[in-house]
Amino acid sequence: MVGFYRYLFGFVRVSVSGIRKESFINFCVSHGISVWKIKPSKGAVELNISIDDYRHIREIRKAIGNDIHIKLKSKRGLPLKLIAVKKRSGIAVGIALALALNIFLSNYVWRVEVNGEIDVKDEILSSCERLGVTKGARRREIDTYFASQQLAIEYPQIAWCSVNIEGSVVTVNISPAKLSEEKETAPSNIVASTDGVIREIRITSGNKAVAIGDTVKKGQLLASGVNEINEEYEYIHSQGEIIAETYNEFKYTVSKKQTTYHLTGKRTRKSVFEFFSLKMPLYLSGVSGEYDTISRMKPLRLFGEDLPIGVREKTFLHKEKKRLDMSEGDAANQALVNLAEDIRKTEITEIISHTVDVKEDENNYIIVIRAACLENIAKQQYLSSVSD
Amino acid sequence: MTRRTPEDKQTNLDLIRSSRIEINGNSSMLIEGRCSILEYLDELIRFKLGKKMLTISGSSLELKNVRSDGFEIVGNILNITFD
Repeated sequence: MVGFYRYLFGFVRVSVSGIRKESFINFCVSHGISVWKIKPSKGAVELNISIDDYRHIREIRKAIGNDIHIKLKSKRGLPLKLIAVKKRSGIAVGIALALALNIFLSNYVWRVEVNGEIDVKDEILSSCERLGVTKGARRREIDTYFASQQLAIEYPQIAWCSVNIEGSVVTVNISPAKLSEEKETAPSNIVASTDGVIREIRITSGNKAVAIGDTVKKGQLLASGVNEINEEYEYIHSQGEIIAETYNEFKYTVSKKQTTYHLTGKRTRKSVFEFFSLKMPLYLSGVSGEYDTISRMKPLRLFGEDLPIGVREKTFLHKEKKRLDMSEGDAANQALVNLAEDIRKTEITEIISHTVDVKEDENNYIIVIRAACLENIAKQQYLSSVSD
Repeated sequence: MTRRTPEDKQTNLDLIRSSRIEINGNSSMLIEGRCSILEYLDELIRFKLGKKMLTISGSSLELKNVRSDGFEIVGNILNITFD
């Protein structure tokens, strides 16, 4: 510690020679002048003395007598370094700039982490980006409460969520929700979700109430969750699939004049320099016309970490607009494509047969598709809700 | 065997009262009290302790720290003599 203070205030190493060189040390000792690392060297004595005391060296020599010779050997310590820096203003400016840059950069988010045992981490990161919690965002502009609330609403897998800003790192802590198993074991019946003719019965639990070939109405009991044993009732959870032939009608409206885009094959590449939220195009002329964009970020890496600084390469895929007059057949095909897409969201497993009826008005074709489908019509009806 | 005179006894007493010497092995030595350097060489340091003279001889002798109340000597100390 003493060494540190000596360095802080600065000291010099001097060589004292002459007949009365020992008197110099004695004088220093008796007058409270601090000297250290005293070593004899070639008939002289070398020692360290503080800068403050060295300023009075002439007076000391005068007090002792002119029988000694004092020679400065070297200068050490922070004040001497600062004098050197003072002459080189660039270093001082550099230090000031580095400090300013450090303060500036610490206002931004450098990393977003998702903690918690959850499968949808990438999706959560995308949602965070949409909510403004992203690399390069200003720390003070992040509403952590709002972001955590939105994430909890958006993802049913999340039971609890918090967004914390620690320095330049945003941590999203997630507690996954434990799905209630109560409903899965609760006593229930299976009823028909729609009208139909039973084609297949796959009951794993519960008492079958219909047979293959039966025609059922919507809401009709298909499997019972009540067992009667010796005039006593046991309630169980019914489970299974009842595949029935159902009849459905789908209606689509297709415009007679369609606008489509075709890629011309022409590509233009442009780069944008990104520094946190600042985006600086590295090109002068813009891109005209219609285009799709593919964007790829090439971030600057430091210690294996991607920094929110880098060059974003944008590829513009030029496309052409084309006006297309739809025929009846094209409209019907378009409707069938839409139907295939729509039935994915339903319990329909197969379309057995279908008829397409096309009508038209001034601007549109109206397509009605009537389809015989195979559909799982099993719907849980909990016994508690029956008794209610 | 020489008999100590009352004068000698008084001198030694003065020395004990005014100075304290601590030796750690033969590598360092602490002298506390009123003393001054008479001679300082690489192999020899001579101190004045009251009316006595203390001579330390050895090699690579260095005054590591010098304070108003004493000296710290390091190096290879071979001999300590009071005159």
